[in-house]
Amino acid sequence: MTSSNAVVDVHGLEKTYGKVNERQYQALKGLNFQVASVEFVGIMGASGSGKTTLLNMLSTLDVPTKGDVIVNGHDVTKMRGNQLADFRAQEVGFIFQDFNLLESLTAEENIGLPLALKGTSSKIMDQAIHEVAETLSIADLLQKYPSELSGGQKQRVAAARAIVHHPSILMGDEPTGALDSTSARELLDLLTTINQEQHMSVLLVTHDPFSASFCQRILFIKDGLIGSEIRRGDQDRSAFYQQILNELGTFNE
Amino acid sequence: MLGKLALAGIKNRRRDYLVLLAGLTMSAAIFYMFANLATNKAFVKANGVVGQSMLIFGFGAVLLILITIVYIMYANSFLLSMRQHDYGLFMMLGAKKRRIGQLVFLETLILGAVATAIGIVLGLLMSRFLVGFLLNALGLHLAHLESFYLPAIIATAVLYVGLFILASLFNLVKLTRTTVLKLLHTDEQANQPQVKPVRQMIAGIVGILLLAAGYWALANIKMLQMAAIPFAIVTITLGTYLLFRATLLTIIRWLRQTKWAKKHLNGFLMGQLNFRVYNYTRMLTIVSLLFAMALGAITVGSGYHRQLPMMADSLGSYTVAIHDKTAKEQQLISKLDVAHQATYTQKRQGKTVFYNAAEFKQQPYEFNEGEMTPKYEKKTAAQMKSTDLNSLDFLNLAVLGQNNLYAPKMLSATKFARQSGKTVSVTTIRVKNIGNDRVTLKKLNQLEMARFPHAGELTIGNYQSYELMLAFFGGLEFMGYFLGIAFLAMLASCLMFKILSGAPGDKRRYRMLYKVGVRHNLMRNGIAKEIGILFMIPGIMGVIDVLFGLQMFKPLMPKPMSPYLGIGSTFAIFIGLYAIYYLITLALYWQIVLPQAPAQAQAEHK
Ligand SMILES: Nc1ncnc2c1ncn2[C@@H]1O[C@H](COP(=O)(O)OP(=O)(O)OP(=O)(O)O)[C@@H](O)[C@H]1O
Ligand SMILES: [Mg+2]
Repeated sequence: MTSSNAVVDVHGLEKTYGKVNERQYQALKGLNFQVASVEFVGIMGASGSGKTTLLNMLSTLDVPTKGDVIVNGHDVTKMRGNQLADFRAQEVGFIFQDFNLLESLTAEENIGLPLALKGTSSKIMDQAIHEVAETLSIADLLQKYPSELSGGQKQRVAAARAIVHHPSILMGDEPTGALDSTSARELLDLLTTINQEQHMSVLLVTHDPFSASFCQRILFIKDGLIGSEIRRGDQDRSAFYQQILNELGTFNE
Repeated sequence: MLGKLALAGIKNRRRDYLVLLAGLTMSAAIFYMFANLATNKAFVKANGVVGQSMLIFGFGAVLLILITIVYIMYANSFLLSMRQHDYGLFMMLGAKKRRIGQLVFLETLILGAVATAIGIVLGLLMSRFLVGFLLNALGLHLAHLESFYLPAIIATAVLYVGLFILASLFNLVKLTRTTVLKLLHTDEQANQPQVKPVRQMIAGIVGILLLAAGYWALANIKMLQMAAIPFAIVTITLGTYLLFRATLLTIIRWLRQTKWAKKHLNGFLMGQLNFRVYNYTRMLTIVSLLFAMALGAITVGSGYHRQLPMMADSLGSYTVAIHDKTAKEQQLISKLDVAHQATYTQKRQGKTVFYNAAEFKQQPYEFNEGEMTPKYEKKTAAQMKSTDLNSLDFLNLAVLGQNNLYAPKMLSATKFARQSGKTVSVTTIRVKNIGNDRVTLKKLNQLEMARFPHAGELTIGNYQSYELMLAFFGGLEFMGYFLGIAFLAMLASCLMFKILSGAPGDKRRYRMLYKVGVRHNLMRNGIAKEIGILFMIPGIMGVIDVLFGLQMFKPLMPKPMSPYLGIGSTFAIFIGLYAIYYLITLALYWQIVLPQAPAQAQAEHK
């Protein structure tokens, strides 16, 4: 396997929770995988299998116990302090299950936050915000506060915030988890659009087969290791959906 | 069952409850101490100009009661904000409103009763030690001071329990009237206040007018008497509130439009302020009031402390006059910081005291010619006129008996040598600062008085005048410091409530910022700015309040004293203290709110 065009390259990733002299729990036991440039990858697995843990390592919210994580050429595990913050601010876009919008800011200010952190001029900022709002069709929501938005609308604003600064990868941890099926579907279509039109890699953690069927490739995590992997290839979505269901059936046995 | 759940909720927020209880306890203790001083008639009578002293302590009591009411209201809102989520949850799970109401009522009342009880005990202990300590430090003597005084205990208990019953009723009504959803989501509710420019304008103008009315009332306290205080407190509080409400929101809205708001965390900061501006307005108003009270009281206290020696100095030319000084007295004199000293020989014969003109040539006598501020002038015997010889200061150097003084007469050296009579040497000493040499002067005065007792109403030297004035104004000085410290403690506690009630929400928000990739420094600075603004606004307003409010002490500080004299250093010290308090608060907030980077794991990772 070559990793030259990989956006994410994970090697022997281990994560043990708990301090040395406390009760320890090994959540990840040596993961290896890559995400290629402009790939849409799904990560599935039972509850407690380590999906969130993995995503936290990739997005530098947590630190691995062992192993290497390289994102867009940066060795994440070697970063410290401000480098980590800057890395999150510039290289990663993140969509959370609970939206993570700041309720004291309008949608527009929420979306602009990553740009403000970079010190982008307000003119360019306005332009970027309106561009992304256009793409996600939330232009008419910009002046509203999160408390005035529906769940689906909130998640679209969150998605806009995640991509407004053109990160190298967009990660989502169950972003559809709190949405109804229509909103969920809209968001997934949106992620597909972002992936294809903005040429952004997407890494989606989900336990919902329907959500997963939008991906090009799916990694199944079991007991802290990658158990198996399936590719969509040329199949249409419903066929892939079926394949996922089958895989889950055998996987869970 | 529900009671158990409620208890569990309290246990979960042990720290917050402890802070609340500590604050209320302290407030009750302070009130007891003051009530003890103010209601103890024997004590008050023994320590001041009778008639005026009751008024003065009454004024202090009114002030303290009003502030206590405001303080308890604020503490209660903190309690309510802590509890509403829990109670909302119980209601959602099907608990009856009536039952919830009972619980809330009981909880508030029990908390209040416990705080009052502990507070009174604490007040008893503090009366014993703290008040004694403070008096000692100030060099004041207050007679008939007892730590245990039943009427004061009753007054404290009645006021506090009464206030807590009111607070319980208020909480009961408030909780049972609010919808469950609102109770559950108070934290996330963005009540985006409407900006109506005309209304804002009107509110601002009314606010300024109210402030002006309050300041006017304070300046005219002589005319309005006791009514001035409650009037001023109400108008200034309302005025400050309206002014803050009108201006803060407008300023924040305006700042939000600027380019500045789009840089780094500025937008977030403005959003935070805008989001919570109404909560903040209340908090800022109360803090500015407490700030003003604390600063004002301490300014007055230190004003007396500084100016009483000054006033004493303006009355005569020497601090003490020692007759036939002994070795022990000489030892004490050598410890003084002397500005002028001279020794003359007297010969007392019949009703006349004779002086040697030659001695006055060598060491001219120093007269105080100043009206308000001392102006010293040295004169030899030749320069002295008969008015000088008969000035009270000079006459006082030789006391014959009650209301009876020797008549001074100046003789040439040869005539003086031939003059018969009892020979006495008298040493006049003027120190640079009576206040600094208080302790030594006191001993010196005691030794002198033991050897040459004279009638009480006669004061010889500025030190004795100073002691007399201390008896007059010492109560006020003490009250200034006492109330100042009390208000400062309440201020600290109010800010602490704010921190604890704001911290959980902020913790969540800063965690979000952390995830989005905001640098640690940026978050630190953001918090420093936000807390800094919260400290600065009431500070500025408080200083303005004090500058106007000091007017009210003009009648109580007769010339040459003035409530405004030398306030610079007091302000500087107070603001220094406030700044230290800011830094402590900030450190605490940082600790509670800032997300911890996973450093532990980092260390383990090779
Ligand atoms: N901070 C922590 N300390 C200790 N153990 C943890 C911690 N976080 C997660 N774990 C454990 O690690 C394992 C993996 O957790 P993780 O959150 O990654 O699961 P997940 O795959 O995201 O599950 P879900 O689908 O339910 O979200 C779980 O067994 C969990 O108990
Ligand atoms: Mg998870």
